[in-house]
Amino acid sequence: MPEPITPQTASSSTSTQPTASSSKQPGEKQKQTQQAPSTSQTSAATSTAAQGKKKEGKEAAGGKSAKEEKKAKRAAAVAARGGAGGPPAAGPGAPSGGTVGKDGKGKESSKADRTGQDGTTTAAGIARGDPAAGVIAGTTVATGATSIAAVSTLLFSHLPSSRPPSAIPSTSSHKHLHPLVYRLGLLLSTPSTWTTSSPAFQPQSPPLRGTNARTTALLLTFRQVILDHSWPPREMHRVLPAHLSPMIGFLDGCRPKGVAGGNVIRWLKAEINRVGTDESIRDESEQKRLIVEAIDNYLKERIELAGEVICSFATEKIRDGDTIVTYARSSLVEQVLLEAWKQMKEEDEEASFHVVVVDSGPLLEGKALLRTLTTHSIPCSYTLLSSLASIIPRASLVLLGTAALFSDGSLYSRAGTAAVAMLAKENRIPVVAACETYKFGERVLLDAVTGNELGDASSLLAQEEGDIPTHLTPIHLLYDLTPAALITAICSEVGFIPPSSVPTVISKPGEAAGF
Amino acid sequence: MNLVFPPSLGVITESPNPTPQDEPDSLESSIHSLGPAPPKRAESVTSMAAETFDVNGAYIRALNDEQVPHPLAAILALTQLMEVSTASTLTGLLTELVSARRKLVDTQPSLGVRAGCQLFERFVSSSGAGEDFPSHKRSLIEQGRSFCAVTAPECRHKIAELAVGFLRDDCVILTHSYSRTVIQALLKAHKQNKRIKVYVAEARPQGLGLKTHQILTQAGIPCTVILDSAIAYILERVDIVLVGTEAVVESGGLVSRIGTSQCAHLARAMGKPFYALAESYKFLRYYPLTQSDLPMPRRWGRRIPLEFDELDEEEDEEDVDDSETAAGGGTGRSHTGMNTRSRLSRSNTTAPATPRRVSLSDSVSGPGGTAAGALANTAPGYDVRWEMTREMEEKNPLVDITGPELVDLVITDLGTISATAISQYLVALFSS
Repeated sequence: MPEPITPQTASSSTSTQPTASSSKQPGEKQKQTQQAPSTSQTSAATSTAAQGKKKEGKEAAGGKSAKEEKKAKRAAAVAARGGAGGPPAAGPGAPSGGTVGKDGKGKESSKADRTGQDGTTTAAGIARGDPAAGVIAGTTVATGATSIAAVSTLLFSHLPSSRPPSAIPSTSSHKHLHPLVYRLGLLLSTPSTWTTSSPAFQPQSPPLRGTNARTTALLLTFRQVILDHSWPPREMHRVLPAHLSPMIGFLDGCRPKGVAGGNVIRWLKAEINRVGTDESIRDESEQKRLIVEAIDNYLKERIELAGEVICSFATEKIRDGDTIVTYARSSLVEQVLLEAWKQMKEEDEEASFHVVVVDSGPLLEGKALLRTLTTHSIPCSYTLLSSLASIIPRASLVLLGTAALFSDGSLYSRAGTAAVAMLAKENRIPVVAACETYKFGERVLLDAVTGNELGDASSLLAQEEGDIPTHLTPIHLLYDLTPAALITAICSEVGFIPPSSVPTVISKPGEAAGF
Repeated sequence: MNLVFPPSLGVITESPNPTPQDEPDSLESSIHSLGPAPPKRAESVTSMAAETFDVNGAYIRALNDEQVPHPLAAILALTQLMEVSTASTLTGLLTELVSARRKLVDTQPSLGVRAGCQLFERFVSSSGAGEDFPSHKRSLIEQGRSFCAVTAPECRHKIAELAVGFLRDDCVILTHSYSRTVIQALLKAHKQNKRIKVYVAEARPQGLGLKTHQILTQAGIPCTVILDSAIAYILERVDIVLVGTEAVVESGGLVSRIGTSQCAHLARAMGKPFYALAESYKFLRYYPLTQSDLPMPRRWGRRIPLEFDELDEEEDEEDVDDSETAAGGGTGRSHTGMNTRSRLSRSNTTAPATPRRVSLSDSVSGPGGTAAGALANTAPGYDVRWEMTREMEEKNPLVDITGPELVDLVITDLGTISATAISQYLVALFSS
């Protein structure tokens, strides 16, 4: 075993010297050197994850290249933040003091024999398999804090986050990118902080947030892209998907499209295929007309009308004197509340209900809802999630928005929703999730760690001036998963259904929505 | 045309025919749901004969038959309406049905009525009209009748067959109030020489448990009536709880005689199996979120049972026609004007050996002072009985909702299913 890896052993034994020498230096300096390895550990871990993903992601259609690039880029970004850590490529040459497992047994290694047979063998073994892993082995004196930071980065480093189009490396396939697609990418990836912390860079339009808004924008964009493209009529079902694919990949790089976006794109591709393979239609303008018509219908039926129908169902559950609790802002919930208020006032001028808008940082989306509700003079309260426990016993209904609904009935929605639902369940308050059927996903998500999105974490600590220390990892997850057991009913355009009936609706696509 | 009601409703051929619908009504919108609301139909489509037809009267007449439950009575009433109808198109007929349905639903508190109407309208609207209208109408009427006369009793028969399988020899059953289906299942078990014993809860205020007691005792089944408040006491001796329902809602919950829910809670606490028997025509496309979230006749407004009175509230005195007393569920609204002071009435009669419902008119409603005095004279002892006044009783709900999580199984003519499967059936049936 030791023979073939001699260079490795040699390199690690030579590179132990910095660490050894640093340990003799006074405390201040020592801390710095301690940080350096920990950062390199972080970056190494990230790049390991990235490489692991690369292998899996090879077959993925559309955004395959984007995904890989993203991983690599983020790994580099993490490394760069560490400063002294250096790029992951420096891995094999990094200081090594003995065994450091991936499982964070770093502390043991501080007194481990620097040239110990065990240690170097392990390090080399890892290094042979994956050069970047050598950095992990190279980490020596990890303090408790740094190992925690490393672990949490490890835990969420697989999650995608939004990034502006400029950050997406242009590939040859991107040269046909439609300007509208680029614009959509820009709108999708606009970080929340643009509107608050740096007014100088405020974009013309507010960031596109909310599944309905994003999906509508996506469809409208592709509608125009299709109109602006031309193809030989017989080749439509081959040319058009190939034309759209890189754009889908590009947009997915700006911001993951989510279940609803995936559903819509799958539907669009099926529709293109349907029109393209129809022998009777052999005229490009006719094909365009059909596709555009289909998109318009989809927007109208699955989003707009669905919303109206959901409103008509949900308003029945809002009665005089009720207290409705809602979390953050959902366009659908907003629509429901406004409609309920309008109807109630029409029936009885005296009747009234009260809305408690529960919000939480860093996005504070509830403020937007609050603004709308107050302009319609609906009695409101505004509170943060932290004080909900004291307020929830007075509620009569919890109304939640939805990003996606999985086939086991679990609700994927803005982070914090699960906590609200849990409190409501504990207090026996009915929890209703308003959701259009196009957000129903066939997958099952077991937790919100495997699939989620990372938000702009820097906004979490925006108040604290100065740089965020490297051993601190602010984590901002955009979504969470509410298990079906916490949801009393789902209000979709097929009516009120229990979460257990979601698969029944999914199994009859199209029909289930009544169209 | 081989249209049948459930259990084979699943095979009904679809027609894109949207049902006319004038205004979003609580249930109606959930029935026909979706799609843009069809434009209002011109009134002229409705025939005069149908306008004048007394659908409530027909419903009450149908209910007079001991064996006809509410959903069937509603279907029978609607079938009769179709007979007198002079509408010449399917759309016209549907318009009439909708308006008749609204009349029924606005006056009859039983949720079974809604379930029956939903089913029938769904059946008519999805039947499609391939042939000429008069013969199509005739076939619809025939099928409506045969459904009530043949299919429905068959449903009950099937349920009894299935339920008997759950009754072991020598088992003790607790039931609540009066349910034809439960009684049929019990009688069937008895006929199979299973030695069953039955406790039946009295189910105040109507005391229909006594009716169950009467029937079972006559059939030779050992049966004891217990107080509604004695359910927790008796459950340790009970092997299985069987209840009937008025309607099964989309959440999988049961809408049934008041007291069923607490029975289910207690059964769950004691670890006793709680089974509900329900014909599939009692499935109702409605999703109540809370106990008070049940559709009620419109003229009751949005008043919910057992609300505290406001002291200065003016009670509008409103005579209630006979139909309301005949109908089962729903909530009573005071019709004699309510005293804000609660009154107590008492009768000095000791509890009768054979349970007998104390006639409310017998009870003397004494002014507060003498009631206390009489109590002083006769106490200590159990021969004094305090009774609620009629007004008090009428503030109470007649039905409650048993949550799906408390129901172990629902035995239906579609088979024995879990409560959550109800919704899957309803979604599949109505949302297509």
